[in-house]
Amino acid sequence: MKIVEAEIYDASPAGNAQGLSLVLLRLRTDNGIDGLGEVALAYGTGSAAGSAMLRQLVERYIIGADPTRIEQLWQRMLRETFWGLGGGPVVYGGMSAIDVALWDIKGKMLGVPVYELLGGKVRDRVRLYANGWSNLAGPDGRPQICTPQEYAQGVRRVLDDGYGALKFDPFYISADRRRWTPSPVLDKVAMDLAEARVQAVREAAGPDVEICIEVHGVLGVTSAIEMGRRLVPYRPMFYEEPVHALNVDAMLKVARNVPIAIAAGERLYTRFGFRQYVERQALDIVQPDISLAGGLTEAKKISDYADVYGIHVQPHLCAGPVHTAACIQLDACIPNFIIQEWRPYAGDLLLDLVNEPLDGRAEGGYVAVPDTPGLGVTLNEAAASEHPCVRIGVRDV
Amino acid sequence: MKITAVDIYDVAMGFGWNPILLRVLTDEGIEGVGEVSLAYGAGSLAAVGMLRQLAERYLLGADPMRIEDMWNRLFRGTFWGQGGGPVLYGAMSGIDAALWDIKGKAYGVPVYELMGGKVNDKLRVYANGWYVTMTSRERRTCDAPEEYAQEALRVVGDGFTALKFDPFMCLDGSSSRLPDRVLPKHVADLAYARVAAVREAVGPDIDILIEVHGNLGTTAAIEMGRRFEDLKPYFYEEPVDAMNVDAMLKVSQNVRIPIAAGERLYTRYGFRQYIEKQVLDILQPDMGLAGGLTEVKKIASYAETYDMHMQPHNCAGPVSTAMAVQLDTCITNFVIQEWFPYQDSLLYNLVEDALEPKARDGYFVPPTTPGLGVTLNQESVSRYMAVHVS
Repeated sequence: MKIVEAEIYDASPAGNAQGLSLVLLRLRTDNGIDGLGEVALAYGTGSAAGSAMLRQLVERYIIGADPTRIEQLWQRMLRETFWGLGGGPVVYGGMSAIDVALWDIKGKMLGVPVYELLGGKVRDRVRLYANGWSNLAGPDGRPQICTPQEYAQGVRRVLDDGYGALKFDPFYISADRRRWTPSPVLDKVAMDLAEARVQAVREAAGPDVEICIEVHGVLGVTSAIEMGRRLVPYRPMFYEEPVHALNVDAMLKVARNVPIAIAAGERLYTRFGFRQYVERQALDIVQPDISLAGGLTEAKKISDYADVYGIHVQPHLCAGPVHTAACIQLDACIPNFIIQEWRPYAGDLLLDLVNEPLDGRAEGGYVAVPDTPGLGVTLNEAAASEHPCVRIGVRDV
Repeated sequence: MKITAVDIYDVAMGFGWNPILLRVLTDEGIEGVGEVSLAYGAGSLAAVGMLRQLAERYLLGADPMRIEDMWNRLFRGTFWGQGGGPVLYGAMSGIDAALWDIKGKAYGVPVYELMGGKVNDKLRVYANGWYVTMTSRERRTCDAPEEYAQEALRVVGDGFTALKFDPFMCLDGSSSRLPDRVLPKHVADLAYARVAAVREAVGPDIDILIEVHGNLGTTAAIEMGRRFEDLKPYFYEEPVDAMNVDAMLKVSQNVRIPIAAGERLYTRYGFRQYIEKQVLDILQPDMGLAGGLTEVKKIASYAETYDMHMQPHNCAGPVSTAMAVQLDTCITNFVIQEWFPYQDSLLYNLVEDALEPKARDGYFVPPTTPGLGVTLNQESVSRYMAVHVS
């Protein structure tokens, strides 16, 4: 079997108020099987680089290759691209999309879900936490939720939908209702507001719901520790990226000084990037993004490595429906899975790019593991054709 | 002053080098140039996409004089700045250089003048690129040890007192085949013989720098390093890749040759442990990847507190060379500069008055012209214009 053609879609929703840009890959083989992957650079600045990287990798390493030799292709992209041995979200993001698409092909070829090939199912359903409920824009484009009371109201909807766990960033919206990047050193007013928001959510949710606190790495070490200590009475499930993950010793200092489980990993890539966060026990929960950290091949290895240190895995999810499907495949087969990020309220995530997206199938805070071959989703060609696409290779069948 | 437009050039020359250049234009008519050092390997196209998005979202309308503020905005505001790699930090580097070029021109001084002033009146350089020829006319690699010796003598004849090569490259007549992590004995012997032949040819007073491109596994890197010790190399570069500081540390503790690395490390955060754990003797940040002049100046001063030396990595286009020269001139722990004097003239001609051909007797005298000291040759680059953002 040979890969003969690739399509790379740069997909943004109409209007695109959230600045979301998905990068989707479809690889096609000479015997008619296709596979999907995604580069999870849907937010922030980098999607154009992601699709261009993908194009260069596919042209040079993938067209004409045997898709079943996943491990070997991964290794070639790591070593022969030069930048694989020193990459970041763009290089590893491109590798990730290809890797996931190769697993999709192999699963379909053998008629089994990908998790079956990665060790087999260890659970039938996946526990979810709801994210994205707290930072929605109103009709005027401004954040709908800002005051502690509004956070408490917002939580109702999540609970009514059956979720037993939810996440939010209490620093994300300024007191005057703007999206902002707060200063690394928080003043008392900002700290008080963040604490009041968490307190309001805990009171509204009651004692049995898990509350996850997200920081997006914006705080300095001093504020991260002070805030963390303040949040202890509200018993968060975890405290995520209290500081950015560019210095493991800074994260370690926070971890040693805050008695809440620490989670991070959406901006760490490959085992090499996770290594010290694992070995030095800086984290309790690792959050690799499968479509950035090196694909299913590498995320499985990261998970198994973390397990040696008693560290749990929560795959990061903030991209499109192909990425969601890849997360569920990993969740299904790793013993140290703890919970899956889920974004049921995030607006237009272009879910219609695939047929039967998993995103809509949550029930009672869980999603059932699909038993369809491959990733479990297929490209909706009509919807995909609405978006700009680069085609590589010539289909000769 | 305000930034009014950004031109991005994808210089796909078709013979192995693909420089990514940019030009930042302002409303006062001053323009700055920069380069993203992704001219080799797979990634040049990604740099174009990244530059375009950064230019659209952050540069247009911004004040080019607020360099530190812009760096911090790109670092914190892009999300991926706090977890980037060569593409993102490379684009930030190219932008940073262009802003320094603008500021230097605005004040009428070379960039090094703004970054602390001249420390080094002339810069020692070492020759690279002499054993592999990749030009529009030919593609040729040395193979037998005698060929390395012969070519090395040519380099010495050209006045260079230091030269670098990767004795593990050029296997089976191919410049792109990578050696295995675990070396077969005949490859190990060939690599040793190549270095020995060069040492014998150039004599004891010429510095030989051994480059490995991170291709060896730890076991082979230590074994080869120990064999090379008696040939007195100046340094042993990227004996293993820089993905795991503890692997590099093991090599460094077991080989009695100064260890150099850094072309695939970015920002102070990436260099931190290589400095603090005393893994390296010589740091090689790339000016077009590690965060630009702003960040590499900080890396240099950080490294100096550990008594480490600086050799900016330079293997891209002629703007990248100019960026390195500006830094070299104003840092106190500069040791030597990488130099590619044997490239295709098409590459040098991307700028007016390229610096590379001007090295004499193994040294280069920094320019005194305002800014970076090079301007784009519009006639050469215009056909490579990929994106115009305005």
